[in-house]
Amino acid sequence: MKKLKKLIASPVTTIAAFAVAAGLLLFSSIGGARAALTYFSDDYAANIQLHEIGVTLVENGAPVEGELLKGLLAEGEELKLGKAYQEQLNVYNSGVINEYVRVSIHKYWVDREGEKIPSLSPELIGLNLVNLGTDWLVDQEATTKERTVLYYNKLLASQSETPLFADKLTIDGSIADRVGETRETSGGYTTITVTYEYDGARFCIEAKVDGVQEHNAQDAIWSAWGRRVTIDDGVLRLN
Amino acid sequence: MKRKKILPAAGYAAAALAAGLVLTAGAGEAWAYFTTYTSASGGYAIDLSNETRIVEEYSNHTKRLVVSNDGTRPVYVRARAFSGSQCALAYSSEDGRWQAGNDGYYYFSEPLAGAVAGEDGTVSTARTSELLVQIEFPADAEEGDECNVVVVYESIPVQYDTDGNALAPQAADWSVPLASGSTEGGND
Repeated sequence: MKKLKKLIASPVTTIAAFAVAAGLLLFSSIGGARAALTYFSDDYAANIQLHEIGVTLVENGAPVEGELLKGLLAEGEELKLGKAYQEQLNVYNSGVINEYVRVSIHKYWVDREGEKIPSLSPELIGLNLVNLGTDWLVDQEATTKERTVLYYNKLLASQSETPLFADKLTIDGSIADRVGETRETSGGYTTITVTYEYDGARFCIEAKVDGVQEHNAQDAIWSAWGRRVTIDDGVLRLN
Repeated sequence: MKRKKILPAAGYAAAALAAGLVLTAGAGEAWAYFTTYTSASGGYAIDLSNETRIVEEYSNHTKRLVVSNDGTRPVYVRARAFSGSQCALAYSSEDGRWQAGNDGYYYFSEPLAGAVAGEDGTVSTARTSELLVQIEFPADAEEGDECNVVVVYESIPVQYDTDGNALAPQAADWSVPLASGSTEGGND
């Protein structure tokens, strides 16, 4: 015991401990510097998920994870062009803290191999957005023909739901007007074969919901989502 | 001797400070804002394939027309015959399912269902009833006179209202020109 005390009390040990501490400090700084070097985007400075904050996409009243539009068609039912299918979407705060939320919706077409077909129009995938202006704000800066970004303009309390942001899905019947055509004449008959551009194509809808903490939300939204907003009395406005 | 007492104390303090700094060095990152996300996606394939086949027979100055749908999707069918001004045409159908439209076309009154493959591999194909086009020669026609009659058939995929009900064939939009060529798609 005496030897241990003597060892601890010795200047050599002190200096060695100090040197180790300084080394650790130096290396921790290097770690920080390396982290800084990989920082290249304003959009996502940090993205840390904790169980206290949670968000759930709700489809037709039921929480949905991973797969969307699962119950759109009954078994064996064919999709009808022009029919407005019920597709009610909103967001539920499944965490224990209040949060601000946004939704990014992507619409596009893919071929049989799952490759995106950029020549087919996402505008013919009609997801009817509702409560715009009153509850949901469209971020025009981030919105394209393929992508729509919506911000819920109020604080979403824990264990509560937003109003709907979409209620119906319609595939425009005009997709049947886009064709390629071949003509073949034989025995006095002319056969015109029409090939539909959208035949076999698969329409896809992706919905991503983001949530961010209530505290210091303006900076948090800028840091996490790269969007300047103003929050006044809990009401969010896009700058 | 005093130095001996001071140095360990200073060492402990320095070490504690250094340890504290080390422990809090990552605090800046740990204090990043709390965020979360979830995502879901889905979709369905579009089947627009339809292929109609026309059987046309001629006897007793009458053309008998039947259209069948070999494709898998239901379609509307309409037909119209054209002749020279000397020959009049009279349309009829035995079951009354071909109905005259306001545009000179005769519409099969219901969607022609798509072909269905049975469990034994046989394919059941829907067909229209016969549309009869009788060619009426003028009274002063002579032996050897000819009348050229051309029949135009058209089919389009069945159209639905927003409730999912099929439109009546005559109420469907047949006027939309078929477009070809590229369209502007999405970009991100």
